[in-house]
Amino acid sequence: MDKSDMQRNVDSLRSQLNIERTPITVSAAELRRFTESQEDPLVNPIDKKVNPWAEKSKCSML
Amino acid sequence: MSSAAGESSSSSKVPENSGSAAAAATGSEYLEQLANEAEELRKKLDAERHKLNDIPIQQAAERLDVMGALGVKQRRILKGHVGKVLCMDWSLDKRHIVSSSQDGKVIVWDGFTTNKEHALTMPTTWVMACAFSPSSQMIACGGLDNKCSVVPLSFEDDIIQKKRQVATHTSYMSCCTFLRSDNLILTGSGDSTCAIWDVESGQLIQNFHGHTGDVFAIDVPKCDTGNTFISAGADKHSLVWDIRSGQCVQSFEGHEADINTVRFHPNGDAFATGSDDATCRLFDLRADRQVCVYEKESILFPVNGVDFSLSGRILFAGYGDYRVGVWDSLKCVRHSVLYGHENRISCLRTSPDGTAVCSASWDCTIRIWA
Repeated sequence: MDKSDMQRNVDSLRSQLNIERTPITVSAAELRRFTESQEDPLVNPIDKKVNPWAEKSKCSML
Repeated sequence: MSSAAGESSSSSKVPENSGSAAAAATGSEYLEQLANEAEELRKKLDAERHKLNDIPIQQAAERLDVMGALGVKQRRILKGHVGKVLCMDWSLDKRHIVSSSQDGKVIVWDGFTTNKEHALTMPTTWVMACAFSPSSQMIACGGLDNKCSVVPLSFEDDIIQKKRQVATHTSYMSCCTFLRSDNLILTGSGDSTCAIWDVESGQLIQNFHGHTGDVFAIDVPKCDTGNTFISAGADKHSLVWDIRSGQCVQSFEGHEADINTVRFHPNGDAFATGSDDATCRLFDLRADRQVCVYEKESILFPVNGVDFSLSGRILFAGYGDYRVGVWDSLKCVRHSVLYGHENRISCLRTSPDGTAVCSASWDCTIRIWA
C-alpha cells in the first residue's frame, strides 16, 4: 500500500466508525418479516400448470 | 522532495478531530502514523460492532415454520460448451441465459427450449464473466483479456462484428454487471479494483480502490434505491461502496480464505458470500457485521456461487464437490442437496422471477433447477 492508499483507508475507517448500527434483534426480525411477507415459488411450489419449468405432458393417443 | 509535497496535500485532508500529528511528520514516520491510526480505528470498529451482537440470528427465526419438501429438481440441461463453463447470467425476461466458458465461447440460450440463440467466439480463452443488459438487447463479457466487451444481440447480422470494448483493467476481469441501465457497466478485476464505465463512450466513470487482493465478485442490490454495491475477493473482505464518491463505506470480515461469490439478500439489507474456506456467510449491513455462518463438518469444498430465493428464505450454494446446497438462510441449517453436476460448480443464480435456479459447471453444462 502506498501513502494515498493508506490515507484513503484511514479516511474510510474513520467514516465507517461513525455509521449508525442496529442491534441484531432488530435487523434479524426485519429479515424474517421480509421473508414471511414474500411469495416464494421455490419454497412453496407453484401450480404445475403455471410453472414455466414443469415438464409438459408427453401423453399421446395411440 | 516529491514525498514532502504529497504529504502536505494528503495531510490537509485530515480533519481536526483526528488527533493525528501527521502534518508535522515526515516520510516513513507519517506512514507509520497512518498504519497505527488504521489499527486503532479497526479496534474501535470491532468494539462498536460487538456491542450490538445481542442474539444469534437463529433465535430471531425460532418462530418460523420449518421448510417442508421443496420439490426442486433438475428441469433443463444446457449442453453446447466444450470447455468449463465459468459464468452465467439470466436475462430479465426470466427465460434467456448467457454463459461463458474457458474455451473462449459465449452462448445465449433460450432456457425454456434449451436452444442456442447466439454463439460467439472471443479472441482469448477463459471468459470469466458475462452479463445480460437490463433491456436484454446486449451482453457483456470478458476475462483473461483484461477487458469488458459488449455485443448487441440481433438475428440480422454477424453480431461478433458489432463487439465493442468498453472497459480495460490492468489484470483479468473477474466479474461484470450492468448498473441500472444498458448505459453503465460495473466491473471487478484481478488488479484489485472495481470500476464503473460508460458503455457508449468506454469512459471510466468511477473507480474503487480499497481491496488488497484480486476482486472475484460484485453485486448490486435488486431494489436499486441506494447508491451502493458490494465486492469481495482474495483479501477475504467484503466491501460496500458508495457509487458516487467511490469511497468504501463498510467493510466486513469473517472468511478465512478467498471469497468467490457475493449476492445481496432480496431486501437489500444483507448479503451472502461463498468462500474457499467451504462456508457461506450472511452479513447484515445495518448490524454492520457477520450474522451467520453456513457450514458443516462434512463440507470441505469451496463455494463458487451463492444466491437467494425470492423471499430470501433459501440460500443456494454451488460447491466444488459438484453439489448445490439448499440452506435455510434464517435457521442456518442445510435443508437439502441437489445432485446432478459431474464437476465443480462455478456459478449459480436464481432467475429474476424466482421460479428457478441455474448453475454452471466445469462439467461443460448449465442446469436449471425448479
